[in-house]
Amino acid sequence: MTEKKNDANANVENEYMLEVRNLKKHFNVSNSVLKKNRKILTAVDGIDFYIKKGETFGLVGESGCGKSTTGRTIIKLYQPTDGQIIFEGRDITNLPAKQMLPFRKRMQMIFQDPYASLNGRMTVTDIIGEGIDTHRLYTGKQRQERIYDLLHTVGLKSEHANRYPHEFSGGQRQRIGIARALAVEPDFIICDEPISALDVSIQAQVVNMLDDLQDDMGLTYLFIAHDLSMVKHISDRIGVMYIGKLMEVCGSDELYDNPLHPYTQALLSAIPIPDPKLTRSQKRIILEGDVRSPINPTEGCRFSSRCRYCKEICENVTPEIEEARPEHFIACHRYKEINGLV
Amino acid sequence: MGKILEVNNLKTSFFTHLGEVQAVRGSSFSMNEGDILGIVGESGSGKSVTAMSIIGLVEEPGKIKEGSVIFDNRDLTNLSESELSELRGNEIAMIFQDPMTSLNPVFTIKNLMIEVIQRHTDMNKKEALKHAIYMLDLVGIPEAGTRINSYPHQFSGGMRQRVMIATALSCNPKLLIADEPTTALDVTIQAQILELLLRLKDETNTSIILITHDLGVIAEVCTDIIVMYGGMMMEKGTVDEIFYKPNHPYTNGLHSSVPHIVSGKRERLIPIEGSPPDLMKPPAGCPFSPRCPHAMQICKEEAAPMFRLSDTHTSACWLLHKDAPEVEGYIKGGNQDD
Repeated sequence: MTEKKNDANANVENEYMLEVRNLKKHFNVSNSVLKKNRKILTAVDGIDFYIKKGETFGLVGESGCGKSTTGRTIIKLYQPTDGQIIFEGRDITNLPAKQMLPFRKRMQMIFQDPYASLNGRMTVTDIIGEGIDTHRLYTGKQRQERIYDLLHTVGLKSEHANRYPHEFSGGQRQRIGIARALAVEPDFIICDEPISALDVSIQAQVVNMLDDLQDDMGLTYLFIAHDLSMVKHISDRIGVMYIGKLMEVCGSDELYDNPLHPYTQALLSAIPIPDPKLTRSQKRIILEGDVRSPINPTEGCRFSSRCRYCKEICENVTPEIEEARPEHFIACHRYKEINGLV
Repeated sequence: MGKILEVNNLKTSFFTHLGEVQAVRGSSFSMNEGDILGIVGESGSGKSVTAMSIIGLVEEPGKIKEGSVIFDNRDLTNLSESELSELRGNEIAMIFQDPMTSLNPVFTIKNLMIEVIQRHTDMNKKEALKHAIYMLDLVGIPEAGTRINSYPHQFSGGMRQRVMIATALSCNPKLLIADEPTTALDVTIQAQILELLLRLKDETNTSIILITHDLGVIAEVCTDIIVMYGGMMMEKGTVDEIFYKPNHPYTNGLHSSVPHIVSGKRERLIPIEGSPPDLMKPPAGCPFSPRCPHAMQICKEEAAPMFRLSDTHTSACWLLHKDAPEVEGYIKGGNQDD
């Protein structure tokens, strides 16, 4: 996958908003200082993908698979252990904080928990205005106008500006979080489970709003979630993660129509469909076996311990991600046999 | 199949310093042996409080204000605390949402399970241990004989939920109340747990009340469904009736606000505008009226009674009244249900 893109390096600037090459983020979780006892949690362990301008890239996976760490590393809340983050053709992996500042204006993040991600001692004006001040975008009356504008954009009212977060419901708080992200006029927004803490009827409101904002402002999203049906709904392309590795990356329709990876197949079959007749006729793949530990992982496919197609090679050799079809990438030794593609 | 549970006009409130929070405002339903009843609703709709009221776990400042819960010819709201604790874990068992916090971390699984089994049966310790291992085996814990000596933190979330289920079913309860049993779990683990619940239901003929906000889970597991909103029952029916012939604007709203996985064109979701009611000051009429696209004057003044659509299907919406204007997609209801 990396090779292919190196060839196409010439037009990377135009086509890709973000490119991630062999990104790794490891955490030291040892409680001993001795090197031999070192425990390394490989939260993200060498992933490659790109996000085109104006598209929504969905990142799905189960808890602990490293999808949130990926988001936080891209925006450099964590310094990556290895690999490259290329934003509009510029390598931002090792930029010092000062040079990172203009990029921070262009990349923003929306967080999962609308209760914990807003400072309870700041008014809505302060919360939204903070970014405006940091990047010196507007001052005085213009700043206030801008804040009112943003509030209207996310479906809140001007009179909400002087209130505190605790006066709002979960859905409204998430709107404030979105207004805060939009305040610095970003091009790229990382949405880290923005709707999973909200009620069903409110989720649809927020998803539609994200959709509209994308159309109006030409935003690019990295949408991180564990709810596959919502990810499928919002994304153009999807990456499926499993314990720090990408298993499959392709267009969202392709993923649902032609999943090639055994993990994706199991994941898709496990989604409960809100339609009793369909769900009764659905053939469910129940995974067995234990999840492999991300701490000091050994060679081999991360999914091998739960995979029903696991062979010796799967346990001993880590599969490389390869392009099975145009724009359809997969990391599996046996995908051809499994899917009858030989 | 006999009736196992009957709830009549249940009203539960929490008397807080800020005022009375009317969490449940008149639920009535019954269930038969072997049913899997799903209670679906958003946070604050009163679904968990309904379950807690049935099993007598409503704690101060909460109180059951009115109504009765008839289980096995006894009104549970009149039982003393000691009679209730005799019942809980034995005839009615409950599993909770969070398998991380609902198992005591300082006891091994063995201690936890043996305590429950010995409390409700006259097995000695050895028999109880044997039964506990049998139950763990039943829910699919590998090497149950050795794993039973582990502490809860040594298990993963899915396995902890299995331990909860094994413990809950160890005394062969007639009724199992599962409050969001899979919400904290990943989808692949959720699929395992739901399959397990269905299999155990077939093997033990336990009736189940499943509380969830996930329409997908409901569709997969339940036989009957109650839709709750703002502390009231909005619609009640069999799974097919609620999914294919919904006759309440809130149920319809729920259906259209979740994405349906279809390939090709991306369909826009239709959200329910507005936000759920404040149960401290619930709206005078139907709790859904401020968000309802079809709300009429009467909806704001008086909550609708349950209109009957079939033997199993009832809906609390004024659109179903014989004098209401015709609205496409809604069928007029028959006799009022009291």
